[in-house]
Amino acid sequence: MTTLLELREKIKIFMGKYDIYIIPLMKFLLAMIAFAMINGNVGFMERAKNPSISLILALMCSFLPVNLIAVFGGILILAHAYALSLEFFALAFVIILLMVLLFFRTSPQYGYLLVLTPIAFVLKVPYVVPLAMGLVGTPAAAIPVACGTVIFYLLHYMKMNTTMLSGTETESMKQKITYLIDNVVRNREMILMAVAFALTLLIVYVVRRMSIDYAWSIAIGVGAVAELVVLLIGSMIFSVSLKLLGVLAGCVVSAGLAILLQLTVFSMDYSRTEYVQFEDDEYYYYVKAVPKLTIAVPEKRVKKISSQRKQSTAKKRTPSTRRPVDHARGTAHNHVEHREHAHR
Amino acid sequence: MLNEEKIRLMTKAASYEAGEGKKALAMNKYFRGDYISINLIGSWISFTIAFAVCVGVWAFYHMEDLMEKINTMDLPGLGKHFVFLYLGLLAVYQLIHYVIYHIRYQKNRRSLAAYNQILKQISHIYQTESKSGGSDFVGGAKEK
Repeated sequence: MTTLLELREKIKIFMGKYDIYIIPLMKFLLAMIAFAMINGNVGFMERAKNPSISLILALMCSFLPVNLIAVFGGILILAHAYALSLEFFALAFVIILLMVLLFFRTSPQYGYLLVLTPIAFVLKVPYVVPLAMGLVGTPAAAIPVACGTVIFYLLHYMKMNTTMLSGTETESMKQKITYLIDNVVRNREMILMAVAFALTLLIVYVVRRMSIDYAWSIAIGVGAVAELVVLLIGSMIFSVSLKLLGVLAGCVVSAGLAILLQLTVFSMDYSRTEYVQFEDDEYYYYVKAVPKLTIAVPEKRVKKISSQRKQSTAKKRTPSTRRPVDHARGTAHNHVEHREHAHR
Repeated sequence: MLNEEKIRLMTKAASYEAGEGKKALAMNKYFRGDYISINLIGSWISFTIAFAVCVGVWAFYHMEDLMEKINTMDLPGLGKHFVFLYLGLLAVYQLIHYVIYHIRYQKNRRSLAAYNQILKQISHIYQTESKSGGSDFVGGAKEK
């Protein structure tokens, strides 16, 4: 626990100092992972699959708003879908268009979730997304989480049915689209996952906002259990075959990850260096505002135990053997104490 | 001479204007009712397009049935059914958006209140400076 708190302080200081470089770097990495994932799984168009295109797009994303990662990702998916089959392109276009119309008006600030959710699915930890977003987000985040789930299943279906989709046999366009709607849009597992994630996020949000002790930790626990229950009940109602052990393990691991994120990242409110410029009647000001850093230095308390001194102090009955601890040096929450015991 | 307190406050104000306050200040140009109405019109347009797309997909999916039964179908009844569905869904969609924009407006008003407080303090410093005949303050209220 102490190590985690120290780690948090270090991250906080590091972020405050170098966030001007770290944030673009993180955006670049997120974009690169997303584009590599798309190209790796459904890279049907050779030109779009070229790594240099992904690199250029990711470099652009590093200084553009984070939502553009989702926009570029969507364009890449459509390009690959077009190369695979015109019917699938039409369907993917309609799904993405609906997402844009319904999502970007409600919660445009969570555009990165459209990218993060499919990545979490690929990393086999999708359950952590609603837990984490319930902790730091608002109920509006439920929409992009559900949309991200749909995108993952769209890509998954595209990858798994390449032969059928690219085939130019007897089936007409109408038949193909009907088949696609039956399998992609009416995919019960996808609907169940999207609903379960949205519900979990809302539950975590409501519990986290309650005025109770350890609300965040309780919210994670309740959220993980709710996620498990919704998935199990849903799988029974919709006749979806879910791997029970996998779901259980996923929920437990996700709860652990959410606790780790809560301790290290989410509770960190770092101030960053800001560059502002303004003027008054007499001067132009170009100000670099650097946050003050309060570092919790680990305080060492040395307690010496020796039989001689103990005896002598017992005789004298003076309280001077204990070294007074300077409590004023650290705040209560970040006070780190190391005790060293001298052995006899 | 430079007035450190004034610089500190102006830095805070400039930082707010460049970051968090950018949207709040744009929103502040509108009354609450106007702001919500404008956004609800946008939501209505996007919902209508989305609904039309969904109806199009539905029609394409059931094209064969529709073509077969087109002569025997109760088209006004079907149209009425779609109109009711549209209005019902639109009402729910707009209600959710009304709540979202209402909360967003209130939230931004609260953050603007803190910004206005800073502006008041800056204004007060200006008044004090003009009374004393120039910006001859260093380190806040201490006169040199």
